[in-house]
Amino acid sequence: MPLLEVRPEGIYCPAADVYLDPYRAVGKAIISHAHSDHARWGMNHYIAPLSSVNLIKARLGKNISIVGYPYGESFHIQGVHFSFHPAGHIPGSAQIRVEYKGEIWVYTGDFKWEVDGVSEPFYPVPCHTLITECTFGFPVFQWRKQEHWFQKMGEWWQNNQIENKNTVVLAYSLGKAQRILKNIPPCGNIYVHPAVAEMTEITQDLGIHFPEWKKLDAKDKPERSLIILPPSGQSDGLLKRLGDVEIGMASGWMGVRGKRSWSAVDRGFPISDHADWKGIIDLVDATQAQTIYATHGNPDVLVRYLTEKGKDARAWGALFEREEG
Amino acid sequence: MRDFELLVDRLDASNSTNAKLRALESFFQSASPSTAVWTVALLTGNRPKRLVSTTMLREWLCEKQAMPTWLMEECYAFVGDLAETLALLTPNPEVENHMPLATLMEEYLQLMKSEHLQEKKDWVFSQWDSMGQTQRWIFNKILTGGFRLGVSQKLVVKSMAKVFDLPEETITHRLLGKWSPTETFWQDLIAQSLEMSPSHPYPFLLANSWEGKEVKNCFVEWKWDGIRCMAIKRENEVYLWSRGEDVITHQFPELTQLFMDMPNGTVLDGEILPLQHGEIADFSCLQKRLGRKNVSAKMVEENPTIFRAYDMLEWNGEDVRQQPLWKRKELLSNCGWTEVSPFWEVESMEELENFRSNAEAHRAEGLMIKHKDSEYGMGRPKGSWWKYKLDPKSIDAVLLYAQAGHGQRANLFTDYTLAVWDEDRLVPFAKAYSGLTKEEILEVDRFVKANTLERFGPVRTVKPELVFEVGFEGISESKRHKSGVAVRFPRILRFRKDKSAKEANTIQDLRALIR
Ligand SMILES: [Zn+2]
Ligand SMILES: [Zn+2]
Repeated sequence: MPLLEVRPEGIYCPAADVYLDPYRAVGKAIISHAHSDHARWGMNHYIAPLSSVNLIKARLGKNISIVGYPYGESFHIQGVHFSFHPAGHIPGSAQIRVEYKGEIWVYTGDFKWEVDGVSEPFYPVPCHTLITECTFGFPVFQWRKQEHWFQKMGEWWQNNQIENKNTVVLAYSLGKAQRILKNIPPCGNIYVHPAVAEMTEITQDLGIHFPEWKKLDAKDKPERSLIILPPSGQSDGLLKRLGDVEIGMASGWMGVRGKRSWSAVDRGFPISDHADWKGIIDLVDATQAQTIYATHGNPDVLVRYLTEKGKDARAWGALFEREEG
Repeated sequence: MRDFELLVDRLDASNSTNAKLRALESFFQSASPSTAVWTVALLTGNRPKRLVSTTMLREWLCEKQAMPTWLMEECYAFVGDLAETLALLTPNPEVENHMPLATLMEEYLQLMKSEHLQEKKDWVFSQWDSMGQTQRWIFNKILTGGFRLGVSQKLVVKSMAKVFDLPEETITHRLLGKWSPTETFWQDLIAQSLEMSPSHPYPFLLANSWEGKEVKNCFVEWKWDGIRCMAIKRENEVYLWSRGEDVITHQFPELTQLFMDMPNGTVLDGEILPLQHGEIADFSCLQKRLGRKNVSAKMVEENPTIFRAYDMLEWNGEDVRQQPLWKRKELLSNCGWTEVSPFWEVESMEELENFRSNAEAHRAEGLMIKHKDSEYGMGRPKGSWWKYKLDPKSIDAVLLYAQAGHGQRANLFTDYTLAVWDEDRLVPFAKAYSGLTKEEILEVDRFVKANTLERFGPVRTVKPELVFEVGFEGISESKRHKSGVAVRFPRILRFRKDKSAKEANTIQDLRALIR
């Protein structure tokens, strides 16, 4: 019996009778991070990284049954050892290490190598079997250092100020939004959407400091400012209120011109919270895993590539919907 | 290449025509002549032939990056654009090298002459190694031969006209025909006044579709189904231009001979028509002439042609295009150097319909209706000329996408998506399955394979070059279609090898068929 297997409900550990990031309601769920395609409604009991507990509660409700463990601390369920390790994806994100009778599996959840200033820094965890995400599992994705793009973003904001325009950046409200807030060189007022504000406040409680920002209220009339909105938050009414704007989007998908023009924004910044192609390959090497399961993205290309390199690699179906970049 | 790179980035980043116009203007304000002229060349589709095949580029990329072919192909299928795929798969250099665009293109032209593939390969590799990502993308676009940044020639001309304070018509006129992107040409292009070379044609005036308005104050004439042609006699030479801006002088030696007798400084607009046994013959007789580089005496004898003039544009060396049509017709009729295509005045719509019903008997494809006071303007001005076709249910369209067929034809591109012009954009309006001969199918297939710009799964975007006459049973308005019209049972009637993409019909022509 394998330590972990795929079931319609999600990744399942039969020995412990527990699911990892299940996408249907189950009894007991171990959650890698607070994004909605990983932390879903309806579980009887949640186990999550300690620093993500308040983020998950903010999204799923105060009254869920949840217990948090700090990174690196082991907990046991029916003799199976579990532990969380930083995934570097967003604040409070984790890889999940599973050990049973000397066999070690690691599920990456979503991860990235780059230290982004808000997420606990990633490190690889050695294992026999690796379950890796491959959201950006094509060699065409090679991220540049975030400094490069934040400098560009800063210059763009300054330029818009000269033209008397507001600058809107579309970014997911948890993770990407805080990363931008933390790293963009400030040159004016920064407003954030209420959904972003809520997540940012919880992140501040984790001890992360941000430049000054303000929650965007209905009566605010920003001028030459930076406004961080979730992609769903750009209503017509709001955009009208912001007057002359330039809209940018921060997402790994912006690395491909074709996809960028689909999104119909003025500027695209390929800033991603996921590993690029090389990041995935490097992880496979670093963990020294013999068996690799690829999931969450475009597994077929990665699997074929690793197989040709002599690894035992397999695709684990499309477990999740395509998600934030 | 930095200024060109910045321009391309700005053009690519924006969907707004205004923003593109501003980007072009600020570019022309500061660009060096050599960069500017190459930019005009690349943006208006006047680019050098391919240095190497795209197949070769793909092989090189795999070799350089030690990447299996299948992986590169997967990436290409995902990205959808070869130039960008290649740019994304090559690493960023430590230091970006910015070679001036003109220098790059001169090296390119030099290498075109080389017989050694290795030399070309070394050059491509060294460019890939020294360029930043945007530059690599632009460079690959030049190599793969497809620049489409939502910028039309019209927009380029408009921005230049503003920056260099010249009428748009002047620049359009100067960009006609064949030219090389040299600094000398650039100086001529933006000069305040300029002597044109004797071969230089005027832009053809085009007609709108007849909307059934007032016929008073108009001339009516036959719309011939031949080759629209501008005949020029200047400095003791004759030049014949087709509407596709091709010189066709050598395909029609008997007409060239005829026009040699005209006085210098004469330019006529007319139609070349095939003649058999003293009557206008089928268009296919003309096509035999067009395909050849040089036409033999025997060919001329077997497929004779005549020229019927519609209009006079230059007389005694003077540009008369601003004079009203009635005046130009007078000049034409009185000059006595050519057969004038007959024209009439009509009093009523009934009379017009009467003429139209006689068109077929005269071997015309319909009527032209031209306002008597109209000047010979540029492009398709409103209220000047209209065409009123006999059988309106066919249209000349440009091949935009191709897809492989099924069953026996699975490895041949036989499903075509066809488009008409909306200003400077091609709007797809019909999908047609081949109505072509086997030879023609093979020819189109070869064209598609050699001229693919983008691939989306099984669909290929091809260079907009091939023109087909598409027939259909019915046409109606449709909100669901991008073009705003839906056609029933479209089929290909003819492969119009005689027409260039520019000569295809417009969306207005198509809409005019809705009755
Ligand atoms: Zn996530
Ligand atoms: Zn995810």
